[in-house]
Order: sequence, then structure tokens, then C-alpha cells
Amino acid sequence: MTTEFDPNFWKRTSDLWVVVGFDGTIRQLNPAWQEVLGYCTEQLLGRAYSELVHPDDRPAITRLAGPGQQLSRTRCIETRCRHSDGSYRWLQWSSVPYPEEAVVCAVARDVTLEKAHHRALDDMLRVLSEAQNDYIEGVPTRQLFDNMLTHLLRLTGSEYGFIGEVLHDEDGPPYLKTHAMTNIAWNDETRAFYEEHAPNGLEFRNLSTLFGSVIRTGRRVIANEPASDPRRGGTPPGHPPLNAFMGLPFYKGGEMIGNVGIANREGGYDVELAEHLKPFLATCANLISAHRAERRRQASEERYRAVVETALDALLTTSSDGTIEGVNAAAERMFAMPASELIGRDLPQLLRVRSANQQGYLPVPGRSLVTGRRADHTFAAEAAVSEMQLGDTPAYTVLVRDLTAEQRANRLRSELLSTVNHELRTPLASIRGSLGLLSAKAVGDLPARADKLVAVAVRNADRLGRLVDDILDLEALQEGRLDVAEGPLDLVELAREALESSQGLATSAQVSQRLRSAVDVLPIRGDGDRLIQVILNLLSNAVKVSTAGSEVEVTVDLQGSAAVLTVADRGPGVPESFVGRLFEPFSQADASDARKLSGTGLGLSIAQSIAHRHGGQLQYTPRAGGGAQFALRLPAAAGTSQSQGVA
Amino acid sequence: MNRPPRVLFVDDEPDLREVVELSLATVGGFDVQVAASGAQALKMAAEQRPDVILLDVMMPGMDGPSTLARLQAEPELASVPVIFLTAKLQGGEQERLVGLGARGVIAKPFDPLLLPEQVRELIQFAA
Repeated sequence: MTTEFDPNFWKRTSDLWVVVGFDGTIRQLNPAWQEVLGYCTEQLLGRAYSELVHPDDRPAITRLAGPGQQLSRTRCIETRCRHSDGSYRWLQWSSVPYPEEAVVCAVARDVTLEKAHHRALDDMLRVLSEAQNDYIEGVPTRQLFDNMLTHLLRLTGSEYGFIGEVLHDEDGPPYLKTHAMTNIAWNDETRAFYEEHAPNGLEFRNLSTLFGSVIRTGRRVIANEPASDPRRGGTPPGHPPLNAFMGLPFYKGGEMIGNVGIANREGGYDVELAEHLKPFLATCANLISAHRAERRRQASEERYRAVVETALDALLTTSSDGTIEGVNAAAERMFAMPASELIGRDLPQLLRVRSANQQGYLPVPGRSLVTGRRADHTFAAEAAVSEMQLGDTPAYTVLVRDLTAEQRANRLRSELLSTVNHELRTPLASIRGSLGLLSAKAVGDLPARADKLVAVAVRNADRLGRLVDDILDLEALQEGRLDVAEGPLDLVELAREALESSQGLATSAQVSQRLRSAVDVLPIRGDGDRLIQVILNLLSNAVKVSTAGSEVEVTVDLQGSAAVLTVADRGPGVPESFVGRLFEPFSQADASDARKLSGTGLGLSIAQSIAHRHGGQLQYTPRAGGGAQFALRLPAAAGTSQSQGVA
Repeated sequence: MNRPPRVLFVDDEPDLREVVELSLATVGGFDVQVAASGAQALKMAAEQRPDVILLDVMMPGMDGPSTLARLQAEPELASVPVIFLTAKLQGGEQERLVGLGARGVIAKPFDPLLLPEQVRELIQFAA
């Protein structure tokens, strides 16, 4: 049977052919045995084939052929067989029994290299699986990379190495920061340096080195003769010998984010090993990328936490039923309770709506004034609530601002103004009263020169009185505290009354006043006294800037839905550069104006505030032909239309 | 009224007492008495029976409104008209003072030549 093989195939094939008797002895074999296992045919013929097999694998091989075996067709049995040099090769067997001749015909293939390759792959997969597991279990980054480096050294048979991240200073060159590095310290100094810096990563910035070449070029570096390699940077005295080096970059999203360096593999490094490490490098890239994301998340969280913790306002988060779930440091101070005591409490125990007759305060999105409760007292506060969605559950953030200081400041300000008011007016009353009596000669005649001086004093006491009035008016207007009555008025009538009041001033300045109204009646709503104050202010300004013999013109008209009163003069007008500040308090175009025109610098500002309180405004336009024109625009009373108004 | 009207002016400011006394007596021809405090005013009012009391609002100790309340509590003095003199006339102050029972309110600073006339008008209005 065996002799029926094609002799050429029998001789030339690289597979090992053998014919074994049922007694286990080798009867026939081909020349491939010499090629693969180093034996010549004569050495093996007649020997028990099991002698060639590794003792551990013999049980498997007895199925192939052996005394007393129920033999059947077998395939793909793998055994280690001893080479003539004493080493073992992996062979993969298939066999067919020929009972009629009491022999087994078997063929084997050398799979030693494949086995080694599979083993290396299995090893790599185990390493990667372990790294994945470490990451999922939250093993600290440093420990995780230490484990990776240990595996890398074992997988590659290297003596020492590192795994590092490539970082950049702002606009600076890249550098390497290690996440794991073999301790190769060679003296006390380097040992101390390693122990101090390794936990946070060592930084390497000299790129004129073998690993630097990886960073500079972004390509792998294999240097099996580093001493003569032009890319080397040299090692410091005492550094362990560097016999071979391989540096491999790894990328994420096209960016080189790190590299590994390994040294002193016996026999040096090669491209095949570099290729084999690709999955390892990809895993390093993923881990560093995840580490970077985590660093960013931590930094963002730290920033957020710092903002929350250093906030002056208390911040509480609650569930939808008002149970407090989180607080910041300001909340602990505000409610004089540690976070551990605040969390779990009901918000209504701490806050109460001030205006409503409610038992407590449940979070309702928006702002409201509340009363806060501390162990020993209550305090005024403002609560701002916003709703957020945590998964399917609504939750609330409640921002609480203590208003105690603000209220105290307001009270002090109010008290101060009241005091200033009283303390200024009382002596003013005495001064003005005394001067009035003197000038009226109530206590007898004064010398002529004294009369003049008394007149000066009267004018200035009056001016001081107006200033006090204006300051208080302005303050009240700006605070929204000035009472403005609301009633039906006629703007034409208001203009007449104001003109009448300013007639005395106009006469003494030899200025004429004229009213031109396009309508007989112009209904508006508001406070008559305050609006006359506005018109009078415009009139007195106009008269003061007019030269003797000129005219101040007042017009009243309905323009659309606005009732408009204008006061125009032929004075110098307002310098263009000053128009923008015309209605600001204490603003006068010329510093000497206040004295020249005996104004306080507050009149227009007050007039504008009063106009605003009426839903209107005061506007300035230069008058055609020279002079100033001020327009007071107010909403016309409902139902007043242009056609109805025009006379 | 044949005799000049008798007015009691109450203010803690000595200068102002002098000015008002001069204004009311010299310009207005009133018979003027002055008191430096609410307590003194109550005592003098009981003794002098003035035709009108001119009362400062802000005074240390018993202020104007408290003095008015005490005057109103005395049956013999309850009908004496009281006019307040005040430096504060904002925020509905005038209405508040009139609401307490004052005949009128005169603002500080005032014109000493017009003050007697203002007082006279308020008394006549009351009468």
C-alpha cells in the first residue's frame, strides 16, 4: 500500500509522511523528517514513534497508533516532537488506519511558527482585555499605565521603557510626559528624582534624542545600534547601557497623542514586532484620550464647583416636593447649618413666601420675596427658582439672596436723606426768614449798601433752597418714591398756567412769551403740579438765555397719539457736544452757567424723570434760525385723535 | 376779634423761634408766645389759651404729632387749631399731617413776609 505513493511527491513534499505499524513502530518515512526534525531515515526506522513525542502529548498520540487501540481516522492532532538537537517542534497530525495491513498512514505539518504567532496574539489579547478591565473598574490612571508598561516589557522581552503622552506648552514645542516609566535610577540623586516626580509623570523636553525623534517626525524609530545612531542624544554617566531602542508613536483622530519607548530587547527590534504592537498602541491612544477627556471634565467640574462654592448667594437643589438634596457653602452660612443637616430637610422649613399667607415656600420657577429662617431669627431674602430635568424627574435649583444688608443700606439712605432734608431746611428757614425781615425793613431801615448785600443773601438763600428741593425731588424720582397723581388734565390749560407763573420772570428780563396752540383743548392724564413744574423749568431756562426784546414761544399740538408741548427761544442754543449729556443730573454746558443762570443743574434731569413717570419724554432739537427748542411729548388721553384735536 | 390773635409757636430751634416771633409780631401784628418743646407747649397752651398753635413736626422728645395728640386729649385745648411747620413735605406728608387733625401745613423755609398772612388764612378757613 505504502509503496503506491508517487515517489516524487513522497520525496519532495515538506509535509512529514510516516507509516506506523499497529505495534507503534515506524515502518516507513519520507525525507522531510530530516529537514524538519533533523533525523535521517535510518535513525528512525523500527523505533517506537512515541519516543519522538513530548511526554505530555503522548496520551493524544496513542490515538494515532498503538497496541490494542480501536483505530479510526484522525485529523489535526497537535503534538510537540523532539528535534535531533533536543528542541521541540509543533506538528499537526492527520492519520488513516489500514487494518488489512495492520498499519497507520500519517501525515504531519510543522506548525511551530503558527503556534508561536497564535500564542503571541493570545498574550496580546489578554493584555488588552486586562487593560480594558482595569479601565472599567476605575483603576487609577497611573496604576493602569504601570500595568500596561509591565506587559509591554514582557511582550517584547525589553529591559526597560516608558509610556508617555505628548503635550504642548501654549505655542511652545511638544514634550513628553510619562504616564509610566521603568525605574532605572542608578544613584541616590536619580532615585530621589524618580521618587519625587514619577507619581505625577516625568517631563522630557530634549527632542534631540531617540524618543525625541519619534515626537519630531511622528514616525517609529528602531535603533539597534544606538551608540552610533545619528539620532541619539546620549545618556548621562551611570545610565544603564542602551543596547537597542524602539520608539513608537500612537495617534488619535490624526493627532499624535503619545508614544512608547522600549529598550534592550535581546536581538534588537524589528518592524514585525512594531506591527505586532499596533493593537497595544491603539489601546494606549484610547486610554490617553479617555484620560484627557477625564482631565477636561474634572477641570470643568472644579471650575463649576468653585463658582458654586464661592458664590455669595445660597444655592440649594431640591426635589419636586421641596426636599433639599444639595447645598453650597453660602447656604450653610445663610441658614447656620452644616450641609449634612440641611440635606433632607423640607425647603418650607427654611423659606416662607413673604406676601402670601402660606405655610412655607415650595419651589415655583421665577423670583419671589421670601423670609428666610435661621435658628435664632428671620431675614428678608429673594429666591430665584429654576426647574431642571434630571432624567425623567423634575428638580429645582433655588438661589437665595439675603436682602438684610441691602435693606439696611436703603433704610440708612432714606434716613440720611430725611436728616439732610431737615437739617438743611431748618437753618435755611432761619436765614431766609431773617433776611426777608431785614429786606422788608421789619426792623427798621438799613444803609443802602447793606440793602444790596441783603438782596444778594436773599437770592442765594433762595437758590440754596431750590437746590435742596431739587436734590430731594431727583432722589425720590429715581427711587420711584415721588408721588405722581393721576387725573384728567388739559395740556393747553397747563401751558397757560405755567406762562402765567413765569410772566414775572419774563417781564423783568424784558422777554415776551407767546402761546400758539393748534387745539383748544388737549386732554392728557397725569399730575398737574408736576407737569407745570416741567413746563416752568423749560420756560425759566428759555427766559434766562434770551436777550432783552426777544420772544419765547410755546406751542401745543396733537401729533398722532402724542400730546406735544414745545418751548422755543432765540438764545445761543445747546452746544452740539453737550446735547448727549443735557438731561444728566448736575450737567451744565458751561461751569459758569449755574452761577450766571442761577440754576442747580438738576432742573432738566428732574423734568425728564417726571416726563418718564408720565409715560412720555423730553427732547431737545436746535431751533431753525438759531436758539433752542425743547419738546415735552406725553401720551394723549385715550379717545383723543388728530382729527378731533385740531382746531 | 378785637385783640390781636394769640399764637403759640413751638420749635426746638432758637434761631427759628426768633425769626418766626419777629415775623408774626412785627409783620403780622400777632400776640406771639414761643415754646421750645412739646412739653413746654402743652403747659403754655393750658395757661395762655392761644387762638392758634404753630407746631414744628420734628422735635426731640415729644414731636409735633405727639404734641397734637396730647392737645386733642385735653378738652379745653382740643378745639385750638394747630398748624404744622415742616421741612418734609414729600411722600404724602401733608395729607398725613392733616389727617392727624391739623388745620394746615406750612413748609420750611417760608417767606417771613407772607407767613402771618398764611397763618391768618388758615385760621379764617378753619373758622
